[in-house]
Amino acid sequence: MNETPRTALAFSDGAMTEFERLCAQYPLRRSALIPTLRLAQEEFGYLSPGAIQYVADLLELSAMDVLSVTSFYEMLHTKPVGKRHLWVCQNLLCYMAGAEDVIRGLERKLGIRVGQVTPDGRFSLGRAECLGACDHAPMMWCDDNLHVDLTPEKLDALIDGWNREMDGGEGGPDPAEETIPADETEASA
Amino acid sequence: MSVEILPIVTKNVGKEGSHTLEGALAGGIYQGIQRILDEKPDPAEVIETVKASGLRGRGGAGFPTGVKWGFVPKDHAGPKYLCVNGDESEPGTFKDRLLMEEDPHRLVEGILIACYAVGIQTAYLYVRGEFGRAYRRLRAAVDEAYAAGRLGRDILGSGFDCEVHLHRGAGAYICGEETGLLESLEGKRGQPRPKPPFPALEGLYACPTVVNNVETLCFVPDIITRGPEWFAGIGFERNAGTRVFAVSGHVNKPGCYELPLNVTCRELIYDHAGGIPGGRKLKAVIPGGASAPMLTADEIDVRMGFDTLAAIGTMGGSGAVIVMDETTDIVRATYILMRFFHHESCGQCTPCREGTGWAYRILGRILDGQGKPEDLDLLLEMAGNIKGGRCLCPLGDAACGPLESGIRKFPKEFEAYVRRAPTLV
Repeated sequence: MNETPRTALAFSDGAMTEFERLCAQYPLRRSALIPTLRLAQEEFGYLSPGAIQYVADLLELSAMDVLSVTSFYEMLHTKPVGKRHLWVCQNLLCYMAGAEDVIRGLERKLGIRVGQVTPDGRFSLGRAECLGACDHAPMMWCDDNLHVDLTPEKLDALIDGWNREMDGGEGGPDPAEETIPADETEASA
Repeated sequence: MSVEILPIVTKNVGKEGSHTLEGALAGGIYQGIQRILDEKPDPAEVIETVKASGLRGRGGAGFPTGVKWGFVPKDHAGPKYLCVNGDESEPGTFKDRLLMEEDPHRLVEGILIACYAVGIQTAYLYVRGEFGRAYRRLRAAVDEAYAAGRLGRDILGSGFDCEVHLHRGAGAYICGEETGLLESLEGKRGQPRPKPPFPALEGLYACPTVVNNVETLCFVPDIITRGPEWFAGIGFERNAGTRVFAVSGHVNKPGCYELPLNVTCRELIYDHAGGIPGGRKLKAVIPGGASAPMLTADEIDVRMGFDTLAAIGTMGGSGAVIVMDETTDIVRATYILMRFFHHESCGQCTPCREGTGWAYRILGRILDGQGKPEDLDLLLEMAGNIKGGRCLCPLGDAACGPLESGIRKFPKEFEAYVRRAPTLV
């Protein structure tokens, strides 16, 4: 077998520190595989063949083995996604609350279909199964946050904010600010 | 039963700073483990206490928690593990996320008590991959607990060691199945294992392992501080305590409601969740997450206990209550749920892999007006060939819940679709 050309990809110092921390959590390093794939995806944008090989080398696994695991998990992307991947829930509760309208609205606004990436590489669109915020349907996942109670106005504001942020300006939505109100939770008999 | 004993696990939800150590201490967290570390009871006594409380798992199957803990061999020489199932993915369910975000220290305390009782020194908390905020808050809570000497070696000078590690998933419903979760934690595809061996004997890294749901562990601290009789006195016989019902769909006030297990489905919908918008009529309720067979509007006087729901052919499952009013198309609802199960089937077992796909495609054909009257019998026959121990895990059986109940309880809706189908031949 020919020697696989080694990739130029490498973790930043911060990612390498996180990788070492992950490995130290487990008696077997292989347990760090899925979190490491997520880390690689954050670092490299998506899990290209080079990124898969890099992770395989780090954990002393075969690339085929790593790819097999990667393909099992919905959040791990082996094809390019946008800098902001909008992942809209299409399951029953979100459907009942108008998820298909949300998806159509995003397709119009972004000029792409589900499964595509905008030409500027900023956004991609996907359909998700239940994301666990059914009391605030319709909702989507992006930027490691759940964005809930979606309306056309709220989607416009989110996307405009992300665009401003990627333009290098201020005013992108702060992920930490997206809170799901717990106030209507009744907790008494 | 007096009102002031409730709520239990959602007591601190919504209070400012409830997710911080300071807020947690103000909210009474860590008193249960403190008592255990002070008094150092025989671990077997702690297991007996949890058994006596009647606590049953809040993740899906409702298995008695203390009994599960008791299955782990006491004299095992090597490591034992606790794996906390925070991979909440059952459609309609959003209560574990609330508990992890709002009261992460309660979960940490529950983990510590479970580890003390079973003689475990390492716990892994598997957090659903999509739950960013829950992960960040748990991360901060665990870091704070370590810094305060409440986790790690020689906790608060007691000689008790317990490490808690967070592990994030990457998007796969099946990793909420306990052996799928273990596979995923070992860095593999989340494909369920054959049972036996059960995780209590051979779980994570082939070592004895307890797998408990987040909400289940959140009940443990109060059972220690207030006693098993107190907990057993809430709810009804064999269905002790409260649970956090996640109510969604056609109700005026969707959200989490922590109520005793003897609450009826009707009370939950109309007295707590505000009834149905616009005064419309109820059509169907899924009482325990997408896997639970549907109830019709005249079945909702059932108490929401594990056994009472099982007695009428459905289940308490994950505590997710999906309410559908008269405007809902049951055929489309069944199709959407079948699409989900087909998508999430891990593919190991043929009946589930192929059966959920066929059912999904037949339902799609019916929705497109291409269905045939005999399709309904075909779907029911297929369900009979998927479920009933033909697969390694319950996903296929779960898929049959909405399918069979939909067709059997709402036959007119399905018949309307297949009757109006154009016949071109």
